[in-house]
Amino acid sequence: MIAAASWFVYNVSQMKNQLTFGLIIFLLFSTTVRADVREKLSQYVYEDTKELVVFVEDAAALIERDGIKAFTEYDQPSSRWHSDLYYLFVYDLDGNCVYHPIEKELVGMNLLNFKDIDGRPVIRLITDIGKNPLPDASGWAFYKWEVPWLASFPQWKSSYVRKAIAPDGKIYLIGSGLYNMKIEKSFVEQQVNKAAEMLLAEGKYKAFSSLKDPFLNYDILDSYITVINSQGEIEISANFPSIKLHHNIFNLVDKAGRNVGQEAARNLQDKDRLWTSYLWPKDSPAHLSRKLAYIRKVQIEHETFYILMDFFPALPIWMK
Amino acid sequence: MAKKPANLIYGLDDQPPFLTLLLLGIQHIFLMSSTLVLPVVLVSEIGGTFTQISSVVALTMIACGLGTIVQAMRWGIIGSGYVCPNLCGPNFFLASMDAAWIGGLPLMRGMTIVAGIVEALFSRFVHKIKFLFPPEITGLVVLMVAMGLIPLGVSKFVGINYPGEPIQALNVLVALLTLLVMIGVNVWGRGKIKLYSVLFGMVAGYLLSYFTGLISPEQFQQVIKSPYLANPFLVSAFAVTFNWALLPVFLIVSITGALKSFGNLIMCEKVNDDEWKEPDMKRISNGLTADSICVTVSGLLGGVASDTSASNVALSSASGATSRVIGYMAGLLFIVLAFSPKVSGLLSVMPMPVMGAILIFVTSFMIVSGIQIMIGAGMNIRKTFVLGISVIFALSLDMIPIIYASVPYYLQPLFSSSLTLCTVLAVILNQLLRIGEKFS
Repeated sequence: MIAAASWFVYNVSQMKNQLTFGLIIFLLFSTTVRADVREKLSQYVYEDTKELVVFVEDAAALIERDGIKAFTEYDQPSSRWHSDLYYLFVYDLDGNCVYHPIEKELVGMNLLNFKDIDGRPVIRLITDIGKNPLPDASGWAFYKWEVPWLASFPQWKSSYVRKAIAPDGKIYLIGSGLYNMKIEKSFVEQQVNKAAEMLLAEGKYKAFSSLKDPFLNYDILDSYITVINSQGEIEISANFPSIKLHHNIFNLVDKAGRNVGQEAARNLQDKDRLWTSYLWPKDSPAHLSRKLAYIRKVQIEHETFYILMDFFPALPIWMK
Repeated sequence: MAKKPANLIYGLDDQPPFLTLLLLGIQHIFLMSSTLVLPVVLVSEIGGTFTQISSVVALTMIACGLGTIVQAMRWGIIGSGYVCPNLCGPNFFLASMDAAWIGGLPLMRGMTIVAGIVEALFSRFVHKIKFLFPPEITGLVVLMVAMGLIPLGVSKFVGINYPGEPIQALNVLVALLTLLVMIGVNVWGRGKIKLYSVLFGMVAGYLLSYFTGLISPEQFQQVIKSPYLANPFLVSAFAVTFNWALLPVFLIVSITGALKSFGNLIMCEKVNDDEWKEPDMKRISNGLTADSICVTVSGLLGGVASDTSASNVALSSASGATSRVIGYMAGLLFIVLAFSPKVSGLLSVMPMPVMGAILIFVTSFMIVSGIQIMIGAGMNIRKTFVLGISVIFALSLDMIPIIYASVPYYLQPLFSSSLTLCTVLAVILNQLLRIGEKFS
């Protein structure tokens, strides 16, 4: 062992220049993530999500420091703000576009009432995040948008949006998004919680009407909100949005023979939200996969409702 | 009589000094631990408690340790006498997950036992089909086993776990430096220093990962919180159930695992014999029996099924140490450490770049071995078609799997892995193209 250690030390000393070069490269590659951002990152699984969040958080920090002068920095052609995959956009609280490097015509326009191909109020989803009183509030907006390199048709875009208060006190909403992202658990939690808060605030009839209304869709990347009553009957379903069929989720068993609905209702007796999972066919009836579901229990006007959204989580790339 | 290759520092029957033996054993158990995250994921997915997770990891370690020891022995019809350790690889993972989903840990245990028995039966008949496996096909099996390590190795090397994620530059840099240390020690190291190429690389990789934050503080917290000693045998965890519907899946993974072990054992023979010409089917048969015992014991104890580790076999080749006592030491260490959640926890948090670098380092040896065995058999036009066509279709399964999406249900087992497809095609083509051989 001593001989091994001496050999190693000798060879290392002989490679001083190479090591110095290596160290420089190493430091160049090393990126530091602020502690507050690191905490936000802990809720995400996928690296592309984390990278997008860091990108927007760093861009927001620039606005907080330099105000709109930051836009000049964003426009520098060789800067990190120019990526092949995503770009920054900035709106104010009223829905005025103040920065958009791809569709420059949008700058100066009020887009608060702009809707995507399915009728989602895209900019309103973004400005709603700014209504959160926290100075560094953030959230996700899901909508369909043109892909810069695909002129033909809009695709699902998941945008991370961050509130940034400039030195002059003006509030901006800065964001950036990726197309057809993998669904994170926190995306689902955000949508279900948003639907639950609306149900609590607006009451059953108004909220149900809003949940069914395509103008206020809560769906993300083909995962949908489902509402079930305390007897297990489906009140709102993406399969039959305009009619109520007498489907009862408490009669359904998954492919492992578990009655997930009844099980979840039992587990929700002493709490108001939970994650559960079950075995379900994915690409074909024979191809079973794990599906995750987030469920919120909401009690309103002496009635209990369960709001849920489910999705198939991504499998590791090396697993066939 | 096997001829010990000149590059081996410690051959099969040599006895390394105790400290060397200990370090070589540690080197192997680090590699064996590289996939311990799989039982953690599996039990977490079915909502298992922390105690259940620790228990399943520990029981998997005990079974793998036992399998490694039994494999290194030559006791009647059991054991090949080679260092061919077991680890909980990806082969059984999805099938075990299905079983755990459908019937919890008792069903996973039952199906694992069945898989072990199937492999035991296969192992007893494998010598009768020796004519199906001439050297060029055994070389091909070794090559395809090595190919099977590529997705895991490369994705860990570049720091990608899920589709769509960006390459992690820092991860690549740490992996590259780790790989360079291993290659450096192996290529320019003199004398016995080569024995520890992977250990040197791992130490460098762990340190770099620690200082660059690639090992998260949360991972360390979990390790710190774990107790030093614990009994992994849960009193309530000995129930065993069975499900006919899962039998086909477990039959497939059992045979795929056996084929992989077949390739690994051939590699062991090749590494230990300079004059290797063709597989010793009796020895391989005994090796497969040892592997089947490991799988069965894993099921009986309550661990996740394992198979023999290609990367550990390649590690023996890379380090020039194939002495069977290293197998005993690695197996024993794995069993002992299973009783310490703190140590097993530390082993199972291997950083991605370290795992990627090790897998690429050891897979290189295995790929070259496979090619050597094939080329060593001598080429002719028949073998060209047997090997060429098999490789083309096997690789097409990995490169463009979508074209096989509509394969009829009864043929799906054949397309479950490129190793299976390649082996079956090669065996059939070899028999077919031998028609009229003696007249040509």
